[in-house]
Amino acid sequence: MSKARDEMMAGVDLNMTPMIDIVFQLIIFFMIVIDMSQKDLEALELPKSLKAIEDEAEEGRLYVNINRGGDYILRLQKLSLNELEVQLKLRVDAPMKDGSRTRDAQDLAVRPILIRADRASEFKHVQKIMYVCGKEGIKIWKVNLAAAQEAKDDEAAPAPK
Amino acid sequence: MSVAQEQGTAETKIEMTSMIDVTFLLLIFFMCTIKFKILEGKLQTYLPKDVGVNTTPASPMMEKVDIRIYRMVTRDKLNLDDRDTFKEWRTKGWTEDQVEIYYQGNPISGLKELARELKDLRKKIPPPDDPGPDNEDSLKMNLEAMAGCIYEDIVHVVDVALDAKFTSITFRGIELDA
Repeated sequence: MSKARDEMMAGVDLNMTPMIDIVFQLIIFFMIVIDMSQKDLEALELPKSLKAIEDEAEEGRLYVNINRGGDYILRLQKLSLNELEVQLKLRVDAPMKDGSRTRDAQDLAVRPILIRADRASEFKHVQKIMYVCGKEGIKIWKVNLAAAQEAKDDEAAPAPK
Repeated sequence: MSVAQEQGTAETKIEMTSMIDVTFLLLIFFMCTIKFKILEGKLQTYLPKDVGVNTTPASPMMEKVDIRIYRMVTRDKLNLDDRDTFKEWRTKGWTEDQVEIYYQGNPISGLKELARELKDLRKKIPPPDDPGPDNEDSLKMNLEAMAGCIYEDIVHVVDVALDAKFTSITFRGIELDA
């Protein structure tokens, strides 16, 4: 760098305050929007469904993912069907956050389950989970199947009046 | 502020460089790890309350709808486990020619015909006013997914069934030993 330029730059002071303000704002934004519970949800491609309703997370819901290769994944862990059965037995009777009962009067599990299967996974894997859900000691009867909501034709293009 | 105090603090300067370094590291960490909440839909289903999954043969019903789905282009043929083949298949999308649907034992042309048949049947036997797990539909559907069927095949057929207001759907054909 030339001497003249050095002398010119000597008096220039970079004001860091607004930059730090922005960076902190960004950090706060990311800290708020980050969803730590995402480990329940495996990155899968769900099939599109016209009749799928909006999914609202229910309290105490269990999630089982099935990837394209047919592996059962529970909270990032690949499990065999027997291991999954053991895990579901353990989790289905875990205390609810508000201390309410985990089973109803008919001894059925209050907790629902969401089966998230990849669109190209074999359906028999979903059926096997349903079979496990109905077993003694588990008895989960609220079984939801995850699907991506497809825009309905009438919503996408309103019919002419 | 006294003159002595002013002189004492005049030289104090906070070292910003290290703080900015840490701040940027935090920012980069959050930017790399962030996953926005995925908004998904669901098909709400309920297993039978009395027995869970029924493993005994179903008793004959007065009115039932049998649907059988065969996958003609199986996963093995498509080799969906191969990343590139899957990508190509995904781009082309799901097509009806990959499956063969049987309605009451007879082959039908596809989902449109199935929708027509189910709606015709519904005209004869209307759905209950308030369908739900405690108010069962008198018209039951048996859905048999043959070996090789993928989840997407079933979702499309279930979509058609739900559109025709079928709420009692039994899945058959589970291979317990596989």
